[in-house]
Amino acid sequence: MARVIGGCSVPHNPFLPVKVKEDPEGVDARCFAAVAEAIGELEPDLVVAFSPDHLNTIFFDNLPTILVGIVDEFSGPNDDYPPVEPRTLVSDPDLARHVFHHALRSDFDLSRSESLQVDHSVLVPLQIMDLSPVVVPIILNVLAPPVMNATRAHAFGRAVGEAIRSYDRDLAVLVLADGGVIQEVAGPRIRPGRPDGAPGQDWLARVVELLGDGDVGTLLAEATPRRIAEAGNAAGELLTVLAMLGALGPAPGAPRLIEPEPETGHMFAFWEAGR
Amino acid sequence: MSVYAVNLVARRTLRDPDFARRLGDDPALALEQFDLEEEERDALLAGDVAALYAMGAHEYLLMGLARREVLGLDLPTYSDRIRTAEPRLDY
Repeated sequence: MARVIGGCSVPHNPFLPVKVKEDPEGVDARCFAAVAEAIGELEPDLVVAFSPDHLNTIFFDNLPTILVGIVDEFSGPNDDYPPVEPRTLVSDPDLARHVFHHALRSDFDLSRSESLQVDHSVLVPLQIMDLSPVVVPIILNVLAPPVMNATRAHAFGRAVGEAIRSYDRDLAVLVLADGGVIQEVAGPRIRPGRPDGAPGQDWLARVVELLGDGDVGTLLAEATPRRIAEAGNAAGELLTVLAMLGALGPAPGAPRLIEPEPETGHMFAFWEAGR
Repeated sequence: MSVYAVNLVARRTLRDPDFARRLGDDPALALEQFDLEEEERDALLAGDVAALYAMGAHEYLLMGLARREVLGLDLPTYSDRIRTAEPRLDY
């Protein structure tokens, strides 16, 4: 049977590839290197990625809350950020189909795509960490309100974890969430002269505190739609982390590493399953 | 007013270089093909992203207008204008 061996939370700001090169001693460069090293030690066969979409792959004409890519491969980015290199990633449609079916039978009314392009989202961390894994992409609508509840995102992640663990192949699977924790992008709370802002610093600190303690239950209770909205129009990306933690297992415990980056409003974290 | 057409204009501007060029050359003509309310059209032609945001347009898409530098917008102008809007605290 397949097994979930670990999980990580990494940011995906499209300008990070430049920032990491320009500031190799900074938080982002250091943490990406640490997460890449941890992933390398676990030697996953495959990554299941919970990612947002920034209204590039999906749009208001047809906007699923959960979209599973059931594809041989997928490409991106489709949103024209030059720091993000065009690439095609190999996927595993058999596992993706199994995840879709299991989640559907677990009462999640998700959508599927059999021809998929993605935006910068999952591509940025993989580019920076110089990884080209097999990836099963799962896109969550966390940026075009209304979005699902935190508890629902976590429950969906649990269903994905169950699906992976019931998949009849010997695969070591890493679950990955990409996004920020607090952030305003293109909205009224951006900083002067910048496309982003980081309101809700207290929420970032609280999320890191609770996850550092392994207290996912309290985080789920506190991550109300209002609390997330107050932390910025991209703060819903936390839902990808909660889904990833659900897939990791019932008691993910304390992470092996967790570190916030307050200026942009994201965090890095890595968990090993069963620790 | 669904504001769908405003979001569609912004999306096409970012993703369709030919449309972005036509919107830059003759905004009123380029917008004729969209089912816009008068208030939406006026705000688009004025580059009034704060008003469009208040109508419900998605800010991620609106910023695409500034990235393509149409309707009198660029990133500094966009930043100045959107920061005058009242944040929507919906999720």
